[in-house]
Amino acid sequence: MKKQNFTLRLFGALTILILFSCSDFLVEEPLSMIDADKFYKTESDAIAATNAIYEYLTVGTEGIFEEGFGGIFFNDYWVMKDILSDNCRETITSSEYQALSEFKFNANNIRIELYWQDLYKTIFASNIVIDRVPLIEMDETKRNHLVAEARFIRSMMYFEGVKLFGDVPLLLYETTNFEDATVARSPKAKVYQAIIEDLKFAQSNLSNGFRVGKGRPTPMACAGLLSKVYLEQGEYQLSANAAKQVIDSNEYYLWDDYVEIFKLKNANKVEIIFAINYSGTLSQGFKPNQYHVRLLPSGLDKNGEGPENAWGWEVPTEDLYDSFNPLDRRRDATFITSFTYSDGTTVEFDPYIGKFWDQEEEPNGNNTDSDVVYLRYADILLIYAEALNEINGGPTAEAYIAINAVRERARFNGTTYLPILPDLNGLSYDAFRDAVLEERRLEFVMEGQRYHDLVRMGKLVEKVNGANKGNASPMEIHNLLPIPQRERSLNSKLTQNTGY
Amino acid sequence: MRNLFILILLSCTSYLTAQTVITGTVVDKYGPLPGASVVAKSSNLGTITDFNGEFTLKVNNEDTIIVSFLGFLTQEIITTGKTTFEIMLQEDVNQLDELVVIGYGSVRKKDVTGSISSIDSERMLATVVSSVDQGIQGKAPGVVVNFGSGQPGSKSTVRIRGISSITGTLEPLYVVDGVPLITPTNVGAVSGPSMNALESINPRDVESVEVLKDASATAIYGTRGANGVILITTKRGSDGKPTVNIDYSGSMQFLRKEIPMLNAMQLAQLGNEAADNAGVDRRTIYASPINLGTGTNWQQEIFRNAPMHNVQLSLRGGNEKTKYSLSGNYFTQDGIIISSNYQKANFRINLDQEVSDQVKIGTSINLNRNVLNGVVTDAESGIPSSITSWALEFNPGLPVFDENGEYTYSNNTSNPPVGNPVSDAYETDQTSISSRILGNIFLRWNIIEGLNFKTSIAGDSYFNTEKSFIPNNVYRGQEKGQAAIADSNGYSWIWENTLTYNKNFGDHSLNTVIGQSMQVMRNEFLLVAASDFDDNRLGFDAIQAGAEKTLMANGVSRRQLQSYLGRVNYGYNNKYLLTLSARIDGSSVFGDGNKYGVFPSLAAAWKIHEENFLSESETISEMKIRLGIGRVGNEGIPPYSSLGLLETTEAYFGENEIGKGSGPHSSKNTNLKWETTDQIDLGFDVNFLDRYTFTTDIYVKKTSDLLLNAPVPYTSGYKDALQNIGKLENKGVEFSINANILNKTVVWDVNFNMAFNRNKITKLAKQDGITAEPLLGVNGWTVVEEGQPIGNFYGFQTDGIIQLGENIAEIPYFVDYSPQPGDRKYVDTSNDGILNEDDKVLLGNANPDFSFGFGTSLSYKNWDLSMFLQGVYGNEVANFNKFSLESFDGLKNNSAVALERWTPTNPTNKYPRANADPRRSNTFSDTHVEDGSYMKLRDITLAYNFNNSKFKNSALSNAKIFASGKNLFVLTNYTGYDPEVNRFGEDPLRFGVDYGSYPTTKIFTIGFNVTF
Repeated sequence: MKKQNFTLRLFGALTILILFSCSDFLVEEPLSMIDADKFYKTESDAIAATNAIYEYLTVGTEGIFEEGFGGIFFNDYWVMKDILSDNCRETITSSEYQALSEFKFNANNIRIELYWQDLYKTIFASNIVIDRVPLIEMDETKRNHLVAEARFIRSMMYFEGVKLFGDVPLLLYETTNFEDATVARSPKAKVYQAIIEDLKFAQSNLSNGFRVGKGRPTPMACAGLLSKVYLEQGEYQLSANAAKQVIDSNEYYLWDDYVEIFKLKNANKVEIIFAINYSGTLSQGFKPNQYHVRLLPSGLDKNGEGPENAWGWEVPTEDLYDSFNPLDRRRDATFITSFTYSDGTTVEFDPYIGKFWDQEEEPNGNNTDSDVVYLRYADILLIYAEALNEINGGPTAEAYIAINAVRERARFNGTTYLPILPDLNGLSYDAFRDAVLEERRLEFVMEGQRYHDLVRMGKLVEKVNGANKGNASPMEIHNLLPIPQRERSLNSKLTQNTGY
Repeated sequence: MRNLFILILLSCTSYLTAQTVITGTVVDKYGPLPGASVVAKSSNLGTITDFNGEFTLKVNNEDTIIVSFLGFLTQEIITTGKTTFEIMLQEDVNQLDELVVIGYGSVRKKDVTGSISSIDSERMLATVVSSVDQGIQGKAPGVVVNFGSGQPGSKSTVRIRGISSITGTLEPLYVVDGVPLITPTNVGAVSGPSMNALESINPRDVESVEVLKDASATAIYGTRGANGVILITTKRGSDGKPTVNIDYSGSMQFLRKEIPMLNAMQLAQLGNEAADNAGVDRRTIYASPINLGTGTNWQQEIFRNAPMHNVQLSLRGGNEKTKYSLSGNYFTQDGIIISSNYQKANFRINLDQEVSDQVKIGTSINLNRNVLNGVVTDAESGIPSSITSWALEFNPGLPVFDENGEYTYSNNTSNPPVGNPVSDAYETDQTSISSRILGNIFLRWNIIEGLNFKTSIAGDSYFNTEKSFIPNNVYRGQEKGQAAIADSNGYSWIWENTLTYNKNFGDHSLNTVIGQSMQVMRNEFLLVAASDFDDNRLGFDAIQAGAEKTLMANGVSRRQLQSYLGRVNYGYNNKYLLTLSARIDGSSVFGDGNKYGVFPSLAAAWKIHEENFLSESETISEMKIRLGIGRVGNEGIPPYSSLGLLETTEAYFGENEIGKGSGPHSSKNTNLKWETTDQIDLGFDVNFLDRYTFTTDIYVKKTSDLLLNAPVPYTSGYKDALQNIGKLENKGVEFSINANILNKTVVWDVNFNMAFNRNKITKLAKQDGITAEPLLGVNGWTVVEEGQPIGNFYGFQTDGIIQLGENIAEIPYFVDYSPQPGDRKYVDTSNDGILNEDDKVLLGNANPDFSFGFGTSLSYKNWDLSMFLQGVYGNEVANFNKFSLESFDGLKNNSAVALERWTPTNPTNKYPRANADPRRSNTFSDTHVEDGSYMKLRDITLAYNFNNSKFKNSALSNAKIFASGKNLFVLTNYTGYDPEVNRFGEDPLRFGVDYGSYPTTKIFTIGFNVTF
């Protein structure tokens, strides 16, 4: 009796132990994030995946306090190209930026590393769209349009990469493991070929009725970028053809007045072919680009007037300021040298770059709606002029028309055309080339152009040395940046550029 | 409850009957026995023997007294006709077999087969402690407890037998009365060190702490056993009259030392010299050094002496069927940095009820609330910011208040500058409030003799709020004001069912357990932030007043564990012991193919003293050899780590269209699994004369499948990813000695423990190792790499100073800078004439060669004197405070060593010249890595116990007053505030750093303790 009782009880206890376990107890279902395996199924997924690419371009996905906060256009795109030149000096007490400004950087420079990171993160996000969206059942035109957007952005990234680093790893599909992503550098020619294929695909697949403009590429943006890519590549005829296509489209024209270009009300309009859109109005947190924070002078804000949170980190060299004709509309539009308060008091100071500041719309600067202009009509005109000069071993009539259109606009002071900057004519090949370089300098201060213009024309060392820019000591090796050391230590297939 | 009141009343009332007074002495074989209970059987009233073992008691004329004491056989003595007694108590051999708590059960201390250190409450509370981790520091060999920050309520790091993970948690598993404690993490709305999960347990409620160190002891905890397990057992009620204990201590805390800094004039001179040497313009702020005078001592402005109070109250008692224990604690502490303070309250109730002869139920409820008003120090992420760093770097030439009586807004020496630390301390608000409820209920059913079934359900809930507000008149507020609020809460429930069977069959003894466990842990957070506050008055309590909503985020995560466990302890002839255990752990966080793991262990012990050749020995009372081997895991990675996740993105198309998106966040890894640690331990215990015990253990711990959030090429689209790559090992020796040197009128106990641990990464899939994030612009200052221990510091080796007349062309240089006389020379280890990454050398390691603790207590009559020393030896500290304060560039204040800088007239070889060139500011070298060895006088306490005879007629049974000092003496060569500093202490990739931590303190305390 007792024995049986014991057995029963023991059996009961064991049953309890075993009962309380169930097979799906360990299944994981994320609640605050989407499982990628359950995504990329619908049209809205396709759009969301495409939209994501733009965040990589603008603010990136790093946390606000992380070093890598900000996408390429947040600041590095336009800061680096001008401090790596005769245009600007760096005043922030950060040795990373100082080293760039003085051409004393090495492969450990964190700004270069972060630039590389942003390039490839954006490429990865684009590759996901390029690979996965075609598998989604949806309207074919829309589907191709989304893939075309991704291929346009991918081409931009590879174009940046090939200009800065020369040969770069070329990944044209979504890698799903790290071994696949650990590849050697592809020759520049192959990278250019991929860029051109992407742009051609994009140009013929971007539709007109879906997601038009406002920071998204259009067929003409593809043509414009192609002209720029061919120019860098030395394919001058192709460059001229593409530029001509943009000119002949009559979709774009120059503002009469230079100051109109960066007015907020003129965003994505008239002269702007492609701009990376930022919005202080719509965004929360620190997502607007850093134009005003970095470029406007500090200490002006008083009693609610003047730019807030401004640091004046990148300042123009005297050489840049002095290279403008004092009456050139672009000088006063580009630089800010004084500020007047509502009580009439005026403070004067050495020049800072104020061209992006729409004082009427955003009197306090800082959190801005300003977009980062990537491609505008004046650029196309000057590309056209430069390409024609190269093709023919000297300027053609059309080349003069193109460059003189830009010069003419600079004479307009808001009410009248001043007798300055006369139309160019009768120049030799070399003189015209120099004229284009000079015109580009005056036109595109802090627009991400100067370093590439100097490198393309082979004048980096000459011009920076001639600018008497502090301790800057450029060398021929600086025509390319070093491959980041971090990347090389993780990928032994990566070679280093000469001199680093 | 009414019964309780009656019990209390009874104990306070004197009875009057026909009585005689008897006196006597209770002794054991060593001498008088204080604290023995003497009870008159008739009245059930009694007393406790005093310090001399004496007692006085009123009894009826024909009465029996019951004399009892824990660990001794109870005696009953008939009093008839006698008034004085000499009572000799005999040791109860069975009771003396102290029990040691092990996972899911307990064993006799003599039968322990694994490596377990026990710390009883008496030893833990010998020092003045406000948390359990303070109480165990230095008291168990191989358990290194480090308090890197002096911020009240902040967390320590506890490392048992070295570091056995790079990504997973390094903290041991804490199990309180059988319930695993979860560790909430800060969301980050306030900047400061993490709160301490152990703050929710009042150390005075703790009966004992057992540290399970080797795998044979921890394998029963499976995937959570790799860092060791700390079992905390709380005090429960016992049979007998209620005892009330009241305890108070009051303390004063002091900054241990100030760092000598330049004064205003000296900084200006340095700044001018630095500008001249760099060939740049002198700065106007330094125009007239002589007129600046000494200026402000910013350290004195932010540090203060601060009080601390601790009040405890407990009531314990019960009868045969019901036992209770109630306790409460209130603790308040001002920090030594102005405007920081901390309060905590704990309440605990433990109840046990016998329902029938076979069924017993019990419950524990622990409530806790902490409030911390902090200041910015030890910020764990983002821009290293800290009030202590600002106070050190701030220009002494600036006053706290300007001529208008407003706070000086910001420093004027650097760009970007930092804010006034005094205004930041007073004007910004940083509050962390945390509430926690721990509760469990269990039922034990004695099915038949020896066979018990236990089911237990436990819950642990926490509710944390972090709030910060930076008003618009403080520099960090960037003129607009910023507020952030984070709410986080979580719970864990666990249901465990075990069946135990204990039985002796002749020479065989068996102690077995099998069980099953299910646990769910869930937590969520909500974080909101806003800026642009016009009005500073409401701050974070009206966050909607911020014109710009800067952040809104939340998240939920959940993890589940499902486990089966079993253990057999088998003994033969009381000489040979064998333990077999295993746990099967299933964890939701791992990849689909790797949810379950098996964690077995085996241990054997031989009790040599039970053998014939030793059993008669007078000198050797115990001798045992133990050998254990086992496998444990570490699952300490976040949920969903094995999945490919997308995150929400936002883009803007024009000013009217928001493009929400979903972009890649993490890459999928279905192979992800726990880290596995295999450990072997050989131990030896010996006890001479029942007074001198010696324990030593030697172990090897090998961890494989290390989880690593390893950097991956950016070309993959990711920065890093969690992978099972790498192996590491820890091996070491530890020993402890406990000696009762004198035990007559003077009682003198000494204990000493020491542990050596060596750590090495034996395999790492990343050839160049893992480089920690840059700190202050320094890259590669610490690297984890194959063949090396974790915690190595790397940098340049200095080679004196370039003197006038040296041939500059022969001196190795950095490509971006041409050295001049007065600059530091560095060793060009690669001999290519150029200084670069290849020339970096090993500068030190953050792990100590050994750690030790030494405690001694001396009692004479009513006096107790105890002392406790603790230390580590052979570790280095990467002193980034020093790196910053020896910049010699005039961009921030520097420590007073700048006065010894090189000048043409002071051609020293120790310190370089002043130089404002920024490119020379980030060379991390051997001058910044310092010996962090120390020995601290953790505690010295003098106590006076009042003679019990004085309370004969009162309810008071015990009273004690004491005075104590903490950290009064520190032996170290370290130049910073405290060598124990450990900024980023929780991060195995970058621990051992000094930068802007909240300094630790020295403390004087007085207090009393009374028992009724």
